[in-house]
Amino acid sequence: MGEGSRGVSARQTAAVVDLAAAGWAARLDARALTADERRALDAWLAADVRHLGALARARALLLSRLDAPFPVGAPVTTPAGSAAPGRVPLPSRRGLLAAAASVAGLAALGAGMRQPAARQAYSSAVGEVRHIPLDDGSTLTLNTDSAVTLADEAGRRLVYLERGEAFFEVASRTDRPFVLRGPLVQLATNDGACCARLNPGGAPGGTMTVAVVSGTVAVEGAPSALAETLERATGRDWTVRGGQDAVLAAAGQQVSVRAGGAGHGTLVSVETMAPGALDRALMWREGRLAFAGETLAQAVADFARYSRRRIVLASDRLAPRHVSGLFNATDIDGFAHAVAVAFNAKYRQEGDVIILYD
Amino acid sequence: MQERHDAIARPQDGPSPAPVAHTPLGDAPFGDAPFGDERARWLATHILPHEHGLRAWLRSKAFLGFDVDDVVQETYAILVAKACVAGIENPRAYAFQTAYSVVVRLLRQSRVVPIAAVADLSALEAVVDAPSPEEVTSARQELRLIQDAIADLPRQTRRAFVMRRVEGLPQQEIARRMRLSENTVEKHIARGLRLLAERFGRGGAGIE
Repeated sequence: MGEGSRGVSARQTAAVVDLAAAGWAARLDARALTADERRALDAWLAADVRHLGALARARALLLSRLDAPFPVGAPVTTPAGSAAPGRVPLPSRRGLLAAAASVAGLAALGAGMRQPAARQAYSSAVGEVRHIPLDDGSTLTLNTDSAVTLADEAGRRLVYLERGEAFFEVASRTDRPFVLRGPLVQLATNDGACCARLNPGGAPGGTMTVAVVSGTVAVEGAPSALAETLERATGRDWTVRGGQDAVLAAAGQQVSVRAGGAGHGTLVSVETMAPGALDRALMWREGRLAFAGETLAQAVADFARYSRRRIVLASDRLAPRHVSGLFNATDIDGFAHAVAVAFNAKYRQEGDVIILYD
Repeated sequence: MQERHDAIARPQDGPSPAPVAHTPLGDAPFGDAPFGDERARWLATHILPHEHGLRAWLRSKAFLGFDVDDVVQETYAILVAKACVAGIENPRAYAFQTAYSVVVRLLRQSRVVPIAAVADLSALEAVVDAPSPEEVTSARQELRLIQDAIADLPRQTRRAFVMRRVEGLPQQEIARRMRLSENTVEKHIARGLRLLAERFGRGGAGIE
């Protein structure tokens, strides 16, 4: 392998794809997949759009029936419905439907043909706030320890939020929607500004909170990895639909997103933020943390995002105390000192840890 | 404080019918279309018989610099992922049209497009409309190609394959009759499919 001509290696690749596809087709035909197998199949399908095609072809080859071209020994027994009891119900087709190519659209081949998007990855270090200027005047700001990938496409501006927190503001009303995708949902807006934060841990995909600063933001189920692969391959849009499964959030509202568990899709709740809460939540853009009555435990957790060092509360009486004030997000020593003074506590350093105690 | 609590509904929402074998899928990222027997049968009946013709046509244009296998696999991917195929009156033309669009996209993506390609693209389009009489007959021959390929399978593999494909027996039943483990039957099916895919597509179906 490797030193052969291009043609040879391409041929091998197609053969390798067919080999894997035959295995999956036989497995799907044999029994219901386990959860692990389904994940593996999903990953394989998402890796390359040809994989889905090869699998479809293998299944077609298996299921195509000839008119008894071979002597049939035993009487033909039709299995009583191939939908054996206990099969895992096949999941949503919506993602695929959304991405499935309309060949009419493809055949038009005009301006609608989407060029492969230029992708650009950005990340910020712990404690860093990073501004990413966008060519149309829109802004994207990364909070501490965050990562995004920008995909610039003709019809929309696509941002994948991979880690952390990002604020974006659309410069002016545009017909080129700004779309931010997280693992659970995507946010789409033509005129809005909002701040989205991924909280790792807990359920698969974690949770996401979105604070809408201005305009209207549509929260929708994000397309699956496979749907995206198809979308890339076919050039088909996954456009904002104002349909029943989009939740619209307006300025001053906060959206919480979490996975609903097996078979329950994605749960989205919308609440109105208390006056001033939004401004405080966005202070990180100036490198500050603002508290108005949060518990010390919460404040300590917030500081932990901005530093490799952290504060440990060694006294039970400290955690529930309430803190208010404006702090430099990266000045963990200053915060520890202020807390010690305010609550009559002491602190000492041990390596990367600041211990607050009575 | 909470004003709305909306679930983003998915078709799989609702009561899960089989709690025993149910695995938590969460938002499983693919739909049922690619795995439904109905779509596979539609492909088997309406597309597979034209694959040979499609490949021949693609091979005649392969100087444009694309890989025929890639185009065929992507074409199947698009067809299997399509929401609804009921409205397709001429599946053959549709498959060619789809393959054509894949070719055009590949050409647009490639950095270097042969000068001939631009002129040839319009020629490609013309071909899509008119099936030649040869192609009509070849669709029938094509089914025979599959038949021949099956006949050439190794003995045990062929037995399992024929029981599954021709007699329509489930794999468990085949395992029982052949006195093999289900695992082994699955391997035979996979092997048969692989050999068939290879012979029917690349290997057997004529190399210039």
